[in-house]
Amino acid sequence: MSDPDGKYDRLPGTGRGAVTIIKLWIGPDHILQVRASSFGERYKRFYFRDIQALFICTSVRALVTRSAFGILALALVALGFVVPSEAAIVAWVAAALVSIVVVVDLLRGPTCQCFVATPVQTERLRSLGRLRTARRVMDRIRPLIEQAQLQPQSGR
Amino acid sequence: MERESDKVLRCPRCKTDWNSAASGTVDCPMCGVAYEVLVFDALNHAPVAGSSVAEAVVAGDEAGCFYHPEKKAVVPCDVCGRFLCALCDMEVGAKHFCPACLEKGRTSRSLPQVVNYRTSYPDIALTLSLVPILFWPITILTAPAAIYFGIAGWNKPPSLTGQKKRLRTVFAIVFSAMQLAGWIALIVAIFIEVFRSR
Repeated sequence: MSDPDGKYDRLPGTGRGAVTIIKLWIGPDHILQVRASSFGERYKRFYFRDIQALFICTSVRALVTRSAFGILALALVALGFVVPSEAAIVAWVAAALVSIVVVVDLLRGPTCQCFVATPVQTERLRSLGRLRTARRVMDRIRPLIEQAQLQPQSGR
Repeated sequence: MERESDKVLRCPRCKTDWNSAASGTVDCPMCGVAYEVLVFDALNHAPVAGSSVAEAVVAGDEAGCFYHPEKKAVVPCDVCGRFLCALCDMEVGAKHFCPACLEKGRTSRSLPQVVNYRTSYPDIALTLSLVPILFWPITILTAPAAIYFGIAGWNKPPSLTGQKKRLRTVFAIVFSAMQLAGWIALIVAIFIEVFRSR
């Protein structure tokens, strides 16, 4: 049963809204999406037996971010050549920091969007924003969903 | 409830129905987005509108529903034990509830299976203790509030995921207490200064 507190395992991936942090947790018979703000947590459950399909598509978010930060880094490097030496050091340090952001982003891999479809809704899983993470999560939940749907439906 | 026509995949973005209903790579014909899709059996067993019809009691030894005595009971409520027909059976996870118990559990928040929001007292306390630092004069109001929320939320049900966030609460209380101590020190210093100047 999925009800007692604290019987959830955290799934990898963190999504960020304007004032919220979104994470996925896995319970015995469902996935729990937790949207946490400074005031509380809002929950959404996706029961394994109800999940009809999972979708992953690559997104261009990383490309846009990297391009923007790359251009910024180049601009800062160029700026370093036209300003006095003290200011140039500041500009190059800033360029180095921006480059680190780009490298970290590159290392985290391509971005994606994930969706889960149930009979009543198709919901985006915002915590799965990286392809590598998304595939890892899918690999983990796929057998659980298949197993849950093999069992006979109770009640009705 | 789902229609028969819904037993096909649908693009999550543009909501166009696809001809395909199999796992693999699918390019949406409308928006052109390429998806990796995992399809499960539930798609082929989607409930059809009108399929959940309670059967009538036909034999004398069959139990009737508590709410509809003429309908055949299929399951008892896991809370009150009343017999329920297919219409009254509210299935949440692996449990079955009657409408009354489900509503009671939802309003009293005593059924974790139907809880969809929980106030996070540790986060409120932390926010009240940290954010007002930027506008420090209001800490005279927010510090006591942070301490109140920290203490009031100590024994409240934690996050559904089991995180109690005790460290957050302790930090918020200690930090707010330090802010209050600062205010007390300031007020005392002002009084001493006024007293000396007389």
